[in-house]
Amino acid sequence: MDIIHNLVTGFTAAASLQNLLFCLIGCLLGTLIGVLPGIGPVATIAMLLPATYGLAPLTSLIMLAGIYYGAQYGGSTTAIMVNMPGETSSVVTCLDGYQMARQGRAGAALTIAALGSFFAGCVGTLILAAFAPILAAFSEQFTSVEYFSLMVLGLLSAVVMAQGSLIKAVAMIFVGLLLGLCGTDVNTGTARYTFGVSELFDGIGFLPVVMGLFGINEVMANLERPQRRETITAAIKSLWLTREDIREAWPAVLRGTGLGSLLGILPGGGVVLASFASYTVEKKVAKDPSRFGRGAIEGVAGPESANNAAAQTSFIPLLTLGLPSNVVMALMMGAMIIHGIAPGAAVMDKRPDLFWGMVASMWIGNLMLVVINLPLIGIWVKLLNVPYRLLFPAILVFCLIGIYTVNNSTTDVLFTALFAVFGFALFKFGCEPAPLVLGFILGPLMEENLRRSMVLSRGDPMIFVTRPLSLLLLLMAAGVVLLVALPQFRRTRETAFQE
Amino acid sequence: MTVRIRSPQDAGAAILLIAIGLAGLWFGRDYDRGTISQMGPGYMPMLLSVGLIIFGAIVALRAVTVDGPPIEGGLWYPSALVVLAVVLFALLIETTGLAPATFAVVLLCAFASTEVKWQEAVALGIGLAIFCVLVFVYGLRQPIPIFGSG
Repeated sequence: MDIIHNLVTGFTAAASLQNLLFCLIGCLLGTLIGVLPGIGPVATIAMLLPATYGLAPLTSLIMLAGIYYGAQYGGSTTAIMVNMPGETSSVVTCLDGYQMARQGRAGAALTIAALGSFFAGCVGTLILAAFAPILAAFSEQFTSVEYFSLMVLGLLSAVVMAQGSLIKAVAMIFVGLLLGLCGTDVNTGTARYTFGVSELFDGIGFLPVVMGLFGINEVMANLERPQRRETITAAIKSLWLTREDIREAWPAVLRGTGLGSLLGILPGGGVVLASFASYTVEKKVAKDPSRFGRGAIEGVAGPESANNAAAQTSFIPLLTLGLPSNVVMALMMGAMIIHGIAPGAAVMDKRPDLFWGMVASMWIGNLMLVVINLPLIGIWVKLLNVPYRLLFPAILVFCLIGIYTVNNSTTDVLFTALFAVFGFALFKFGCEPAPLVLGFILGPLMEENLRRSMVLSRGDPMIFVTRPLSLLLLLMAAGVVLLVALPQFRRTRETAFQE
Repeated sequence: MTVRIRSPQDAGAAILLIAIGLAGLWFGRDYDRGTISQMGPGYMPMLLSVGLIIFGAIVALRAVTVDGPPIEGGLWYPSALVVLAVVLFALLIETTGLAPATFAVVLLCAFASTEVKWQEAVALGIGLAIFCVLVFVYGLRQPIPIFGSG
């Protein structure tokens, strides 16, 4: 069997001492920032990206991926213990997890969250291993026409996940695409929007944009609304699950895993959507829905499994099609490009050790997280007592040093300030920065593919609808937009975000 | 008929979008557009800029027809201080070195928090400066001067 041979390749690559060590570091860091509210995986990965330059590509990708799925584990701890989501993906975990903690069942909630996540992580990794080659083979028929349509689909689907207005989200994609075109045009050598600044000839740096819009802006948003934190009331008595807990939880884990795996693959899907959808499903299928919100274990088991499964499968579009489905994946794409790897189907052929090593490391990382986290919960909870006034200067300083050290350039730091101000304005005007970042990273690729398509068709835009595969992708894109415009879906989406 | 802004957030977004679109057109006015079958470097920028102006116009229309949420005020000075801290870091890192730059950023941040304690901020600044020097200069071997312009 091919898949077994591939997995052996992967485990051999991932099990080197150095890779195991950095997998552990990534998982621990991920859990840490997952536990701490006010700093997310986007800022952390962006912060650590420069520090990984000296590492081998596989090692650095293993660590960065560990941060992402580790954060999903850590977020649930905060949700259960202090009724505050450490990450957006664990917002729904607060609903029943904290209630369980108040009833003295904090240990059971934490255990089921960890075990559910582990199970989902394993399944997600297997799905990634099984489906990625199929999708990659499929994408080999793609020409620039299909790639352009695929990017249209990917970008528009990302809009579904954006909060608030659809038109503003699409406009944000356009802003991102335009910003992505800054720098020297590869075909003609024309300098575009560089204003004579030599640092801009290679385009606007990826890190200043992401750090300004997300990292620094998170700090600003948190300072604007000073919040009181509840001190921990719940004590952990026992981590063991009762027989009844297991009987109630395991179907929820299965459903959550299935739903999460599916939503993770879709471009624009991802962890937040998966956990919300899973909670809604659990409430629908439950015999007694009134138990939800009062400490129903399914309300923890389902969403926690779903967000972890989605965290794994959201790597599929990036690794097979070179299409980032959310901002974290855009960062991973940035990391791959920095290491000289073009994300997409070719990675699997040319660097099987890299692709399968990453897949294998995810399984190892999930195992590490279960083993490390349950005994360490006491320490994580203590960390929550560190006040934000001490935390944010440290976050800010690390971000700044991270940006500076990429090119040893103060211009990059100044650009970060510029994008922080821009991000502040977007935040005030109710515009989401996530579609902008996706547009920004895809901008040059999209232009290149559009140009090639138009050369191919001698300037006839109908080529996008006359080629069947491209038509299919565009129809899917249209379907996504229609779905969002439907009043009923719109209402569900709004309530989901308000809860 | 008087036009009244009913959704301040949308009004702000519309102005921003139209401004970006116009800037894109203005600064890109000299780039060769080429033809649709042989696109020049100016083709995509023009397409995107025009798109942004159209989106801006739609959002502007909505701002005066549909009621929307106000622009939240909140505390503005912490945000301004954070941006100032970023600029300060850019100015200091190559002139005074890592340790003083870190200390200055932390001290400036102390103003941004409503619950500032002086001794605590100074201690945190010194602690973080030492930590960053150890981690980034000695640990990760980044070529940053610790003191002075190196």
